[in-house]
Amino acid sequence: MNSRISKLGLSQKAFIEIIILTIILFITGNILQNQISRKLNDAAEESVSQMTADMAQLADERFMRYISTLKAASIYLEQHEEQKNNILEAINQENVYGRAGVMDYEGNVTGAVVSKHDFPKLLRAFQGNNVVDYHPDGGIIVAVPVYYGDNVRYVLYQIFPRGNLTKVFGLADYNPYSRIMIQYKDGSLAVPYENFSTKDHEFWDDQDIKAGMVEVHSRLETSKAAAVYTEGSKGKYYVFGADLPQTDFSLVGYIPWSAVAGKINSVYQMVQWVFTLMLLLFACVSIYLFMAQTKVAENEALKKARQAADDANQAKSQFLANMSHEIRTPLNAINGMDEMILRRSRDMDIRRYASNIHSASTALLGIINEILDFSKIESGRMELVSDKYSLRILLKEVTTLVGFRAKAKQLEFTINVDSSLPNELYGDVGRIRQILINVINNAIKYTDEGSVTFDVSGQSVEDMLNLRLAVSDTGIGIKPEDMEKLFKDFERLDLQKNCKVEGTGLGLAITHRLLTMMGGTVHVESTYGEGSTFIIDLPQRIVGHELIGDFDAEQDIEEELEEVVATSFTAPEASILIVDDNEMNCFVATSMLSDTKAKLTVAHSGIEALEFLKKDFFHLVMTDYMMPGMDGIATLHEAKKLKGTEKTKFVILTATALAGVREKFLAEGFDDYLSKPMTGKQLDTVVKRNLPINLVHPLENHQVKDIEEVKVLEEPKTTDNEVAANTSLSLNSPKIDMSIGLKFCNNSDKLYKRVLEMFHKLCEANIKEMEKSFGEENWDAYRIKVHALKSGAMNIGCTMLHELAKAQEQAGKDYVSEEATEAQRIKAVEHMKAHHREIMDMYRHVAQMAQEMTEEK
Amino acid sequence: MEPKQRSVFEWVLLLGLLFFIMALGASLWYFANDKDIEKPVAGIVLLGDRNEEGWNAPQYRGMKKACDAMGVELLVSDNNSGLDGKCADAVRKMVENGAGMVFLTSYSYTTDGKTLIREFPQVAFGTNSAECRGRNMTSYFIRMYQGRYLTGALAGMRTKSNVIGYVAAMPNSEVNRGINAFTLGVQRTNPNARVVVMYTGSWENEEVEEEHTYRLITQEKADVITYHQDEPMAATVAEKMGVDYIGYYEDIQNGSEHDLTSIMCNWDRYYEDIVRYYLKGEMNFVDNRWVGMEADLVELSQLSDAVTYEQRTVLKQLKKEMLAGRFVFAGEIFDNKGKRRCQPNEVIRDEYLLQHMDWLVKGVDVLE
Repeated sequence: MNSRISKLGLSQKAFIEIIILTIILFITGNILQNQISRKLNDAAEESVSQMTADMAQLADERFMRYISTLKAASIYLEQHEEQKNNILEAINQENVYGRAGVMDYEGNVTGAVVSKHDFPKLLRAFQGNNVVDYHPDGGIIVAVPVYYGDNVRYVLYQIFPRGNLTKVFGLADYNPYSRIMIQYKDGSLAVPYENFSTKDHEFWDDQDIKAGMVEVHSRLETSKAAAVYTEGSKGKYYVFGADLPQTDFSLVGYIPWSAVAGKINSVYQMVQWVFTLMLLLFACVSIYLFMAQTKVAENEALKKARQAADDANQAKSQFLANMSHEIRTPLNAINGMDEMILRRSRDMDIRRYASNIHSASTALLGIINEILDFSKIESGRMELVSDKYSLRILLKEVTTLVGFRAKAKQLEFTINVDSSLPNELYGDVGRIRQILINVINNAIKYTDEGSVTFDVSGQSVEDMLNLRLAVSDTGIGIKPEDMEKLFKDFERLDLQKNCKVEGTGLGLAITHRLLTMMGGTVHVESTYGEGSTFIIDLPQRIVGHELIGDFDAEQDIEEELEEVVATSFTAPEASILIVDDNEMNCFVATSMLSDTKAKLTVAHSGIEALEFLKKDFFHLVMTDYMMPGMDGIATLHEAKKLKGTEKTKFVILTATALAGVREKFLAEGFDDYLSKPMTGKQLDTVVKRNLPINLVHPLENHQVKDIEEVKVLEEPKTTDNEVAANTSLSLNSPKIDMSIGLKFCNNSDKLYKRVLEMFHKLCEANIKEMEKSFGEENWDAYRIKVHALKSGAMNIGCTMLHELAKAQEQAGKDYVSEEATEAQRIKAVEHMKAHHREIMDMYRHVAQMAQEMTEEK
Repeated sequence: MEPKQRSVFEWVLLLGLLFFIMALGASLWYFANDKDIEKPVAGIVLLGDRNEEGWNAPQYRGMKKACDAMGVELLVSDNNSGLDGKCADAVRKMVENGAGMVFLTSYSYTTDGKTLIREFPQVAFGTNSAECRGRNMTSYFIRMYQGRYLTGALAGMRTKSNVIGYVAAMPNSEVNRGINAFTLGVQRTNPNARVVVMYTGSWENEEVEEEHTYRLITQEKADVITYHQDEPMAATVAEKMGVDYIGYYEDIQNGSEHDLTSIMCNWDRYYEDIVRYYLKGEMNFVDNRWVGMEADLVELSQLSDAVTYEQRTVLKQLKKEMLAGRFVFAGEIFDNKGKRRCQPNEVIRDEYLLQHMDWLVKGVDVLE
């Protein structure tokens, strides 16, 4: 919501910016337009006024022509006063539109009669000037003086009556569009142009034209000629005027704007067009740039958002992994304890309760494993472990598992297997199993009645098999709109209807991803309410020629299972060092590896392990990661510094099931990695892999069977009687608590038996060593041996010996401690000397008891 | 995204935009304003100081006023006697500085003027001297004689001794024209009166002027004094002596009853016309341009309280007559040698008046 508002604000802002820009451009354009037309008009005015000046000169010359005629006549008259009348007649003939006359200073007139009052300027001719004068009624008079010596005696003139003025002085139109006339100084029209009508009067009386003329006259005050652009009801015109210098006349006229500026205007229009187009172009570019910029900003924001989401997702995965690890640890205990109850208890009720706990915790473990798997896939750290496998066994396993569930839900489960499929394939069988169980379980989960059908078919192309696994059900089906969500993380469909169906919602997502990793696909066909079919296509490499044949779900395949699962070996020449601070873990590991007959050594801390490594050569070191003091990595680094460890392989064991942890450890220098809790097979595999090949001897089938044969320990007897029988040795007779011992042996009777045997077997040698150290007062070596005794006692379940050994070890530690004072050391030695004998005796005794216990069994 | 945060790109864009708008405005402003069309330049050369009352200051003021009114830049060269060629140098400098027209305000510049009009044929020249002419030189005259005529009529009416004293600079066409018009005026109102003229031989020589005036009053018994000089010394003497006097070019205005009137010239109008002609390109259309009372260029200052109503009426009548076409130098005129200079139906033409008036009318006595 917030981002929408800011986004809206952003685009609005940009919109406003563009609007402002457009307004600025518009105003600029407008100003430019005004300036251009003003400039154009100014230029046109200039040129029209130039034209007017030229015309004024023409007009002036017209007047001068008549004056020169008179002037010539006046000279003649000066000499031939008596021919006055003839001269006048001659002038009249020369200029037929005017009538000539002569006037003296007294006002006596010969020829055309004029009044001095009508033409006041006429008198100036008596001062010796040429005169042109006008009277609205009389017309135009042109006059020159007639001299007698230095004085003027007459004025010779010619008068042109009003009616003839246009003919005489009218100016030929400068161009077809202009109209020119001559005005007297008082503004009266002296010489109109031809066909001057009322329309023309109207024109000149127009308000705007008049205003233009006023401007023209005011400009004429200081200039030869002037032209003014007017725009009004009459249209666009230039009115112009020029004074005729030697007269009181002005030439005025008008010319339409188009006749002058028309062509120039096209230039201006072109500019306007181009400007407009450029404006549009600019707008487009602006919008484009803005959009591009917005896009960049959005992309950046998207990138950041995605980074944040990725980080969050990573954190989520991390959290999930950590959580599942934290949950798995106690769950392991719950499972183990529950199994103990199941094994030991004969009370049916208790067994039922325990059974329920078992199924619940198994389900919980399944869910947690799913989450772990998912977080591994999420972070891209999921690894496929491909190997040869038997399709028949795989299908059998799956069928057994899901068939049981289908039966529980009273659903019919059928499996159809194409008998021509090859049996021996290469791939990650664990993951394929997981996928199949997932899909079929899903089908069972969402089907309330009817059947679930599992069809297995495939097509071979050379050595590749396109395995098709189709699971059909008659369940609730999937709505078409939900199809897309189907393989999404955490999505569960039809929540209301399926709220009772358990699950994380991760199953199909994991399925989908695993398949993708393996190069396979999954797709669904479904009709809502009628059922669905999940079709998995998976390419697998064919490694054997054996065909699967007719598949019988009931067929006992135990033998085959044994064959595949139990891959064991012996390596009597190999020596293996097991490092773990947890006694139980050490014990489990040693027990599990005892079948290999390898020489096993146990160290309880990194320091101890280093001590061993200094002394002896080991083919393989298996160390725990989480140890107090020196952890697994530190131990490795220190060990690598030692001589003789170049050929030793190091394997790390950890309960940290985080994705990426394997890489981390391998990068630190470990040769292999094993996650806890481990199965015997996993341990087998890792050890086998890391021992020199020449030391590993595969077992014959019967041998395996011998080993695998589980001798179930009988219900442990109380050893109280036996202990009581041996009380002669000590008041505080030690006793072996079988339950404690079993606990350390992972509840394995077999292991426990072995531990007891070992305890007895090592007894004499250890005592000998301890006696030797004791005798030499080598308290450090002594302490370590006592420590081993302490652990061994606890492993078999003898707490008394354990406590004694512990106290002795503490004394040894006190002595060895660098901070110890001399008094403390003396005290520690006293303590050790005081208890040494007692411990040795008890050791022997307990070893004897252990021996007896194994024999009993 | 923070809406107020701007990226560098945006800032650059904004700055560019701002610059663009400023450049746009500047260019519009630059092109919209008409470039200073070069102001027309005019020059004037003065004889004396531009602030010297009498002749020089009114000339300068008139020219200055006209130029200011019509947007013309004025270059001035004053205290220029015209006798040492300084006038020509001053004008050359003016032309260098763009003067399109130059006005020379004295007869004394005639010699320099003749050189200049040839040196600068593209410059329009004007002068008040009649002696220098050319295609690009026009003489602008004022019919001061019309004022002389009217004051002559007044003097004729005022004199009791029938002797009127006239202190004049030198006998040239202009001075003689004044004396003649004055005398014709005197005779119009008082045919028995005579005008006694004394030449000082200089436009500016107060000592001589004073001495001559004194002599005219005491020796010739003149009871009205007028003069044709650059300074009003004659009037000062007349005032001191207690006789009537008539001023010339300068309104004395001392409140004295003897200060009958002064012949005034409207220099503002005079130069306004000239500058306008220059701007219209008509300055040299004619050789001479001579205007007077009809254009209000010549006028009499306020008449003294001593002038009677009747006398005023006569003056008004004479002025009216003159404006209606009754010329001063028209009709029968004899000179003081008895020669007829004009027939009754004739008018002496302007050109003659201007340049060739080398005689004095009947009724003028020249006192050596």
